[in-house]
Amino acid sequence: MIEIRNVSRHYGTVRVFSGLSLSIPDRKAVAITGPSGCGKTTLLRLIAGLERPDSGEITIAGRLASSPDYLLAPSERSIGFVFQSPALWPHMTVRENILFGLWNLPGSAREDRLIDLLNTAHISHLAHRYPHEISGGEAQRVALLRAIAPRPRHLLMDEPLSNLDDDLREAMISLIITIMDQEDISLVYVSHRRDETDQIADRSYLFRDGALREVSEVPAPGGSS
Amino acid sequence: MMSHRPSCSLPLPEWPWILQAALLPIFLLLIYGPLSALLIDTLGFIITEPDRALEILFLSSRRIGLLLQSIGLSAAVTGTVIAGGICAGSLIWQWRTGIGRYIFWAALLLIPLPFTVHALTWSTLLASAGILPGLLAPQQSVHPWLISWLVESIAFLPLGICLSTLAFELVDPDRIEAARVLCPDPRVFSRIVLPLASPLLFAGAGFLFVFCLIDYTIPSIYAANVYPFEIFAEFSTSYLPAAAFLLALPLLVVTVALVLLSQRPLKSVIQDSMWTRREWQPEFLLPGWFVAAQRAALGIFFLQAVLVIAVLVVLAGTSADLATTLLLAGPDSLTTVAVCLGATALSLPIALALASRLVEKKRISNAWWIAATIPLAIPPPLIGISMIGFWNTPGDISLFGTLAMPVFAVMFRFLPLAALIIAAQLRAVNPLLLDAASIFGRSRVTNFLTVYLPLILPGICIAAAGVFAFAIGELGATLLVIPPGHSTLTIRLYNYLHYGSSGSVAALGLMMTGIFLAIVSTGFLLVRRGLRTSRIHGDKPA
Ligand SMILES: Nc1ncnc2c1ncn2[C@@H]1O[C@H](COP(=O)(O)OP(=O)(O)OP(=O)(O)O)[C@@H](O)[C@H]1O
Ligand SMILES: [Mg+2]
Repeated sequence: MIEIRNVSRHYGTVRVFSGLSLSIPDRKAVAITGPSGCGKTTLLRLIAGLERPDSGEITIAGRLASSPDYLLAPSERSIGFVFQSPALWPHMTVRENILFGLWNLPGSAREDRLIDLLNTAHISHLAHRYPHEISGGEAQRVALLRAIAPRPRHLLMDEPLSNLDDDLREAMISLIITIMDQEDISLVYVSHRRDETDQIADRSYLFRDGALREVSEVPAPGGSS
Repeated sequence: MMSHRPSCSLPLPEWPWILQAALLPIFLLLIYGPLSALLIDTLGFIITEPDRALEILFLSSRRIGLLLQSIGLSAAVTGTVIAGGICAGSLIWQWRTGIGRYIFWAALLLIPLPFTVHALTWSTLLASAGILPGLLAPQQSVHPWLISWLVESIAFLPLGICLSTLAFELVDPDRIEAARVLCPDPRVFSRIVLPLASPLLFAGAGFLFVFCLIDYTIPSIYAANVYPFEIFAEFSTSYLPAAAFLLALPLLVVTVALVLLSQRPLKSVIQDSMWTRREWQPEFLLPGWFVAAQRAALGIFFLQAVLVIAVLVVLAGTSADLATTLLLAGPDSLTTVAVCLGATALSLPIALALASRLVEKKRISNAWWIAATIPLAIPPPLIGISMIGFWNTPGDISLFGTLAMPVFAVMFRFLPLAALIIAAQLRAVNPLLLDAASIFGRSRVTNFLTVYLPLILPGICIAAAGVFAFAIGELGATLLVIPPGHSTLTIRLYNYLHYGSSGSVAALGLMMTGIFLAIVSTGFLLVRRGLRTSRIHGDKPA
């Protein structure tokens, strides 16, 4: 469970939002849509601990994670983050990119996990290629695998499909749904496309003028088709 | 070495080709004219006197020792400077949204401070601490290599700092944050940030090593005999350019190889990086020992900057013959300013033409990269020697024996540097602005002058200030080609450091630093104005 309570964030004199509250239950997929510049990315970065709130606090699994004078390190929060660009590390192969987050596991467990993940995403043949040797859609899949490899309890995705064409987008959405079914994970999914969020999310929020408004409640958990 | 981004070739404006056609041959003439003359002369020497040629080529054990010691000194200095640069540079980068920016500019200003001024500062300090017998007898020093290492490392520290800061700046923040979510910061720093910054760090280390290896200024002041000085000494006794070239050959093998190796990562950095300026703050939690090293490195940088000024002021304040020295040095300072101004003015258009070649992603630009970086590998004494052979031709209109010679010498050494700086700037211009301009259908030349030139003005100003400032400190090549009866401030200061009186040394140092500061701060103000205007024009890469 991620609890965001009364969080405010501004850059210099520009206020992005203030007094924002939201809770993300375990094993649920929450989608946030909203116009450009409303602060969606900022919200995800706050949850990830990449930025500090100016007021309010964020707790993760009941533990204080962020407040104006306390910041739990991003790597201690059990989250995965998929950015708008794949942001793969060019000096590592696909395999090494995915294994990076498993640094504290023993060797055999790492290999097993890697093989599972590559099979799920149907990209086993890419394991030894470098990021500049794979396509944009493949890179985005690798970025997703890299994020979930250490079995985080929460996954944050910031418009992960915006650079993909429609076919790749569909394939990626079904991969996300598969992963949501397999892994014991909650999802915060940011997008400006309602059709994506309707497929993926249990709950959708509209982010506008610094406030979140719930749009709909889809009853079936885990998502379908 | 890999490139960080999938290569993106941004459209560059069509260059007024006439500029390239006219300017690039001048570049080739200035640098490869003297070099080929030297090569031909050497071939002749080998054919006519093969025995002597062989004798020089097979280095005596003393010269082998000298070469190894020189390489050792350069390696030690490079290692120190890059390590210090990484420590201080990473801290400046972490402070990038605040004070870091100002420290970066301060370090940038200090890069070209002449070696002789550094030597003067440290001689004074070491003499007053009793480590050197006296300010004016540094050549009797007891630890010549140790002191040379110290002074050279400190002289190059600002360069190491700026280089590392730039290297960190060029790392894509998304890639760093993607890692921060997955594992602790120290590991992110060592596994992601450092490797991604490494192309520029390696390239910089390579050039730095070469720059140390070919310069004898500081070691010769402290009586550490280095190989490039041997080249100078050989020529001063034999007056045989070919002999000097053959002697320089082992050194050239090392420096040319390193320059060729280092220019590749530099090329990919300049051609492929997106110089985006995203507002973000790398908030790292690094291990305590590293934080301590970061602060120490930055502290040493501040200390040296303060010490230089303090020592010069105190020395000059306590010297009786300040006025006489300044009067005596009057003609020298005129010569210095004339040479530096001439070299800067002539270098800029040529460097611009060369830079426009360097940023192109064509096969031919590889050749230009090599042509542009080779001069950086030539020891300054050899530059002077090759110029004497090339320009000293019989005839009515000879440039030899005029101030054109030191101007050309300075251009030989620092024009490539200016071209590299401008090339980096060319890549930072938002191509959309140029497209927008070309829509209006004006002539190329008009577009070039009214749109392109103002956009790249910051880079041009930095290049100009850089050439001028480095020119003030140039010694190795100028010493050989300065017309009789003339001298530059650096030459005089270098001589005074060997034979002069402490008051005159300090006065000269102060004067040089004054000219130096006047120039770099003018350049700095111009750059700031340029940056502001380009921002008004919306030069923010998307
Ligand atoms: N580092 C920063 N410094 C200053 N302003 C910032 C910074 N980061 C974001 N902003 C501003 O904060 C606001 C919210 O930005 P954010 O990136 O969260 O928007 P977004 O909802 O993700 O937009 P988009 O859909 O375009 O990605 C914007 O107005 C943006 O300009
Ligand atoms: Mg966003």
